[in-house]
Amino acid sequence: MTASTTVNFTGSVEKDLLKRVKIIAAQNDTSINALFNAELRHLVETFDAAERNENQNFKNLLAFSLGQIDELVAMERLGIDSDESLFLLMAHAHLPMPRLSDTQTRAMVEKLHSLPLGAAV
Amino acid sequence: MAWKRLLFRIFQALILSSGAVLVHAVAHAETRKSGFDFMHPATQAMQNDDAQNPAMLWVADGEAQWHLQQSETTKSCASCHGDATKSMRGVAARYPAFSNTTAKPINLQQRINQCRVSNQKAAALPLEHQTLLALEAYIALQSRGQKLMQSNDPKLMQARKQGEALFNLRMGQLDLSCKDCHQGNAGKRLGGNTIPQAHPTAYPLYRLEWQAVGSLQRRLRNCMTGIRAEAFTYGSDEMLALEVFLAQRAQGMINDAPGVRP
Repeated sequence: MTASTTVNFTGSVEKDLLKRVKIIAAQNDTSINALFNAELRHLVETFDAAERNENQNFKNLLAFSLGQIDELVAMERLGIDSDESLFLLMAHAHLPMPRLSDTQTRAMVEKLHSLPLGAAV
Repeated sequence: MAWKRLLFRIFQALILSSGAVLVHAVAHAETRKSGFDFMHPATQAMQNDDAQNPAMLWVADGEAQWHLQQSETTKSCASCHGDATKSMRGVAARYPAFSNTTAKPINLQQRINQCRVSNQKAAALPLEHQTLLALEAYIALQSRGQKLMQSNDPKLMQARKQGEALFNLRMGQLDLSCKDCHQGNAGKRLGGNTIPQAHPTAYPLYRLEWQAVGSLQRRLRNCMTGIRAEAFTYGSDEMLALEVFLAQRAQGMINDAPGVRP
């Protein structure tokens, strides 16, 4: 039997997310640490399995989830032509939809403000 | 015998015209499609199987909320309404309805809030609050399979007209109306999406894009943002008017809430 080799590390998480995960942990009589490990293990094992099978789909979905590629690039790489298929794959892959950073959101707002206004009736 | 021929002609014309009306009515009924009909079979299967439908998690939460006693009055929803599977049957299919209390149309979330405040002496919850969505999903489930039947209350007429005008109004930087997409181009593709006919048959519903349950008003705000318009606020008169009109437009269609949509 090998000794457990756990290490401590420092990370950061959204305040609201931490609050919610604390509730889930309490409701399920477990710790945030255990939930974090379970989620991370799922991610790693799914990713490893996909890599072993030379399947790039999970990698592309993860890149979309992390906001590294947009939905059009993701759809092209996955060979699908609808948002619905992409969202279904995300659900099956157990990955969260991308969350835009404040910087990205501000950039989008500025871009929208620079567009000409439509002829309002 | 000329008068007989004349009577025959009139009779013939009446038969033909009533037949035409009937054919038109049937054709109209057949052309309306729920968003469900535009989805992939995999998404349809997700909605049809309660064990797979993520919205059922909200329903379970709503059932728990139904029995939850509010601290001041120790009244739960069940204290007055009893078994929701009986007392709430058909209720969601009739909303939005006119409230004599506020002298305005209200949707189901607002009705739940009215009950909370007046009967349970609890604070009103913000619209789109998870507890409200859960209760709404639980109540909506009790009308699953029933026809959407908005009241014919003439007091709703003004809101219906306002809603129709808003539905037809071009707005936002893209200068598009609801009608432009959902009536004129339903079934066609817009980017990576198939444009549905915008019949609100399954609200509140779980959207794969949101990875959460949301209301019709959230969906409407989504669309308004999409056309680069300033979205109406939750619970505004404009939102309610649109809801009233859309409910009337979907009159007679089958309620399949809580649904799943892309």
